[in-house]
Amino acid sequence: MDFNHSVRSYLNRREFLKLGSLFLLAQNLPSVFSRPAKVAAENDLPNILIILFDTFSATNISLHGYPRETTPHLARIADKAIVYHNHFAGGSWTYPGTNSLLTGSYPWSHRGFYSGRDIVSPYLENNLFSLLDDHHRLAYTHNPKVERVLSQFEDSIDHYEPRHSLYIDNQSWLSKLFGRDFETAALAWERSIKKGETGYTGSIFLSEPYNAAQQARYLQYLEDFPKGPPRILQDEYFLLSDAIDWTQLQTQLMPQPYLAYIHLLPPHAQYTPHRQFIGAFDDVDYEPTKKPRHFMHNKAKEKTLIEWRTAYDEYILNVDHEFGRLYDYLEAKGVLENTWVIMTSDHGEMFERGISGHRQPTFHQPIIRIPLMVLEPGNPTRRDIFSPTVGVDLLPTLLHLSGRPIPNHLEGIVLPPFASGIELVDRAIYAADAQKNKPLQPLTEATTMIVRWPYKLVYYLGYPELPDGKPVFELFDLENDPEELQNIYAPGSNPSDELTEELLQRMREKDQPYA
Amino acid sequence: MIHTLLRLPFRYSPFSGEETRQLFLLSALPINFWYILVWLRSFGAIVEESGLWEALGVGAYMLIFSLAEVVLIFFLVFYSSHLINAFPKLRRSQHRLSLVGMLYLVVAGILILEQSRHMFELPTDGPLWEFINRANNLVASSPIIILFIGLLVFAGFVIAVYRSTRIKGLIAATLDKLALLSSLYLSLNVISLIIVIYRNLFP
Repeated sequence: MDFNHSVRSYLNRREFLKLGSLFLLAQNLPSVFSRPAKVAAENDLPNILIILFDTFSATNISLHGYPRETTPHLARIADKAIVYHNHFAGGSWTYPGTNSLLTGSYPWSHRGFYSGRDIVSPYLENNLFSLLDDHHRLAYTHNPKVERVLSQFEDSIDHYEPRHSLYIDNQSWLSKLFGRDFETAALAWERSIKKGETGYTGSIFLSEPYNAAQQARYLQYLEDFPKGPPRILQDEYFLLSDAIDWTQLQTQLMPQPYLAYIHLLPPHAQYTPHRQFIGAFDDVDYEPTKKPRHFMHNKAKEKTLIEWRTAYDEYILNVDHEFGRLYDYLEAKGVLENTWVIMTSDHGEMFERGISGHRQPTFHQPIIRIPLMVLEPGNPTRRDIFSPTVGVDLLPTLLHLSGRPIPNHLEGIVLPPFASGIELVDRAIYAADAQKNKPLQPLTEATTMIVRWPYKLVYYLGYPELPDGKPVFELFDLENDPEELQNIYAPGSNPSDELTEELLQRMREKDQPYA
Repeated sequence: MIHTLLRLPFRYSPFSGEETRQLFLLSALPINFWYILVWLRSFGAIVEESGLWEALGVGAYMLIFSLAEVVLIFFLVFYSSHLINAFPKLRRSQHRLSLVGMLYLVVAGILILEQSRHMFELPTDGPLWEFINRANNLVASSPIIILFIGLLVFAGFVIAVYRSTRIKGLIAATLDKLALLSSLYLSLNVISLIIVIYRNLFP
């Protein structure tokens, strides 16, 4: 990857951000005195800024009806945005979800189920970055898994910002020494000295003092973050506010038109919000609907799920606050005048049915329903879209909006309200997850889904957890039973049979090249 | 330069040139051994996720980091060895090497044992772990426990080396063989260095 370390080689993270702010101030002084700042594009193409919050479930967003008010800022921004109320992810966790969003294709097509580097042709070559090559393309992520996904498209990314660069410990010495092979060196360093979740390291003498020193270093953050600052691995800490500051800076520094894909980790576990958001829902009388334990449960106890849900909601409040801060900045700087701003996620999170997190291969609404909000440049009017949409729609939509041709193999459609003449009501939406299935073999251990509004059919096959070892179908009526309490699957009647046939037929088609 | 570094800040070296080489090899043995083991534990997962070349790359970097640790620890052990000059009966440098070498290996062994608990998810019951846990509760820090055990072992070895010529000879012969084994690991360090240079020249 093209790791650009030239500036940070001599500055630490905070110095870099401070210097950046000063540079911005100096750059904007003339406009402060003459006229409101407005970013001028070199051609007519607007910029595209995609902000993706990892593991952001629409179920827990008050804008979409959640009883706790988790997103006051999203609610205010929604007044000037297009809000998609029934938006789905392509998969239930990072690899399939992100790969689908970036390639405009479903996981059973791109086959990026597990390792993050599995995508097959033609999806590999035709991705968000390669198809929008008339933009300056920037990508950043906190998440090492997403870094692996993005590395597949490295040839099409003009500026890849290494994930460690916005970490509290940005390992600049490592990038100075091994900048051209940083990813591998960083992984080796992690295995060598950092006491991760495994508890053991390569170094027998130095890991203990190193980790003790790191812990001591992070103590200073405990005042603002009583649960510790946000982290991805055992000791890779970062601050969401730093990433938002950095994003603001990039909107001013990038050549235009730009396409920026910023994939931020929060509200992914661990749920460690800023102090001001902890306890925000203590006074809110809310009790989630009790649901029976699902056969794919991961032994999560009810009490734990309730506690984690609250922590997650508080973390969403933190995310909402930071997104609100970014929005205010973009508005004040005039960036919204010529930039498509898209806020979405790769998958959701689950706190029910004995399932915590998002690695259990189910497609319940908290996992698969995610937010999508689009801010159209220069058109601050609210529009609410209730038709079902999916992550694979984003790429064709952006191509359409940029006047680029849409390759035939893309499986998404142009999102409403930008499309004309497309009937969305009867549209089928899919998702697939096959974490343990060999990517280039037919699906034998997988979960797949079809949504044909208002019905959602989920198909589980090949898992050892399945009752009696037989495949299981679940059918829900999302309009009348949004909590998915009643499995109405009934073989021999419709819509069960129609949806089953349609889903199985689609799976056969997608498996055919690997049969 | 290495000679100068070894002399500083003391006037006399506690070891001859050959013994210094042997001490270096001994310092490298447990460190390299454990790094290689940790790498091999994750080798399969990295191959599956990223391919063989990536897995070799991770191993090469890990062995480079291990080499850096070896050098650091060697100097620490070497300089610490001057303290032994305080014991008048350890006049022969070979005796000093035996004492320092065995002491070092015992401490390294304890640290490896501590890490093995996590790697192999060893049961932590039984009298030894009970003792460690009790001591751990007492002082609330495992490095202190290790230091405590190390000091006990140190005292034991001082007494043994002082009294028994046979033990001294046995220890010397063992250290000699271990140093030979270590030189094999060091050749892997050299190969790793080549791989790392190659990966950075041709990413």
